[in-house]
Amino acid sequence: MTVTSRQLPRSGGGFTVIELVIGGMILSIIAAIAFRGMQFAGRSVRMQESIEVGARLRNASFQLSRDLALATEILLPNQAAIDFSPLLIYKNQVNEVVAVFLSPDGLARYNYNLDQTQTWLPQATQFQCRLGADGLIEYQVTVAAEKRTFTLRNFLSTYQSLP
Amino acid sequence: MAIILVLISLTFLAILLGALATYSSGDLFSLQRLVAGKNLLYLVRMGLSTAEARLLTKRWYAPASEGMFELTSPDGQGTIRVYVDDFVRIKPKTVNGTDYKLLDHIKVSVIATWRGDRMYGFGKFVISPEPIYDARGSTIGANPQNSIGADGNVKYTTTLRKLINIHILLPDEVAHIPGFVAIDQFASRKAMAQSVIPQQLRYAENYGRNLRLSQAIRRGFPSPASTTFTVAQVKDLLRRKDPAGVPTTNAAATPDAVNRLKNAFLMEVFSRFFMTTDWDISPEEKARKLEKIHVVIGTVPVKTTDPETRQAIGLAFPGHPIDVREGIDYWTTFTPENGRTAGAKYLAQRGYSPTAVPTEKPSLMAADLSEIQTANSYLIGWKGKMRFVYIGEEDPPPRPRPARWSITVRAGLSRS
Repeated sequence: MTVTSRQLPRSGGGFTVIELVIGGMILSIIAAIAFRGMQFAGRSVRMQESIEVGARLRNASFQLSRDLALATEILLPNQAAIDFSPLLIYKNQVNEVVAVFLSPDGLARYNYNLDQTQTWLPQATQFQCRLGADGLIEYQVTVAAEKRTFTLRNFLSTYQSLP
Repeated sequence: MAIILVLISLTFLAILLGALATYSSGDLFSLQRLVAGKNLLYLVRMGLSTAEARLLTKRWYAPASEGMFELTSPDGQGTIRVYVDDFVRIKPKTVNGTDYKLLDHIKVSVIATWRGDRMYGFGKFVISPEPIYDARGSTIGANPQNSIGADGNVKYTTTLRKLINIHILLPDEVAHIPGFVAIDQFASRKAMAQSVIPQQLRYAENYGRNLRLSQAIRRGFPSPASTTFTVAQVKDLLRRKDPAGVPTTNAAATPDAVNRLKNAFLMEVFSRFFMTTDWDISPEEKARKLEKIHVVIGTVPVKTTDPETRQAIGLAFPGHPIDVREGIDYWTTFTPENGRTAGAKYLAQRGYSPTAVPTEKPSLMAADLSEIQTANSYLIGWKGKMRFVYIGEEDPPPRPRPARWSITVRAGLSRS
């Protein structure tokens, strides 16, 4: 019994249709996965940035609350009110007049006696404060980052002021 | 393929968990900082308050010149160490030939720790009049007039004792104090005390500098029309509220402006002065205390009633003597009335007004306020010129005889 085989002629370096389809499918899957991976990585970076902004917000609040804890007097707001004021004025530990407000450059702290300005939080989009009937000074700072906004509220007793 | 998908999923999960962990740890760290700062502040204040309370009783560490005590916070996580150091007046007080040391003040230094974080505090316990510095450790002042009785014992008197110049210091601030090594060393505590002096001076200077500005801001500040300000806008708002019209920076202030601010400060202090040992006092309580403060002028000279003296003055100074009348030209007592303090009424009666603060030196204003005109005094100075003429014959012939003698009187008159 003779068995013969018929070999197909192969040209140098070609792919069959099936090979191409399978290869294309694999590449598509890898590309899709890579694309999703890049999307995830991008989202992760944005989340990290958001976290960073949140941390800066907390740091700015920490600086402000320390300033207020050592303040000798809150000058503005000067009476308890429901409405918020966009301007906070107080005398710091050495009785210098200091104003905190939202400037085009972010949350600003301006020392009137020294004529010096510090920008605490460039990403800030809102600042407001009010004095409660219970003597608490309340302030809110808002920052915006990547379609997200973070607002930090803090309450401080003005009776903590040093004599 | 499945392996690749699993690996990618795991990577994504790791990124998510990592981000969450970072976020949580950042949040936790911030929260810990806030809680630590708050707790340390309370602990330092507790240390200062406890030291003041103990010193009001006595110097428990006498006859030593320094003492220390420790406290633990109720939760057991915070500790407070308080150091007190006596400072004796350099010049002793001599009574009946014996020198007695006087206690000038006591410096109080505090270190508070909470979960590894630290914070420092400083205060100066002042006593007036000064106590005799002896082994009994009393912080009650000795009577300045009669410090030691005939029996050799100290004669005590009413004493003002208070912890002042309080400062809270962070570790990084303390680390920059020249000569500070550790708070348990006297030299380090002294260095810490010296380091707060410039800050204390700034505190006092700025208090006077910003007094009127602070009052103006409290009285009424225009409601901000915007929620965003430029620095220039805020500067302008504050400058418009600065009644002295002083340039923004202290360094640029003119002498007149500075004098005006200091005089305004003196006037404010004089009109609202009272003594208290309370740290925190509400405005209402302060107003109630001020209602009990009267200004009483001391000795008023008796006016001249001798008719001959009055006649002589009247001859020398036409229209005089002018009597100053109590209740019209001067007052011996000022009492609070309708919310106006006694001090404020005295200032107004002397022509001083918050809207027209003088620019003279504060010492001159203080001197002016320290004396009032309760009488006019008259000084009459006599100056005589005599010419003697010889009477008798002589050669050459005598000149026409004038009066036997004459006296020219020139009266120099003055009133003071």
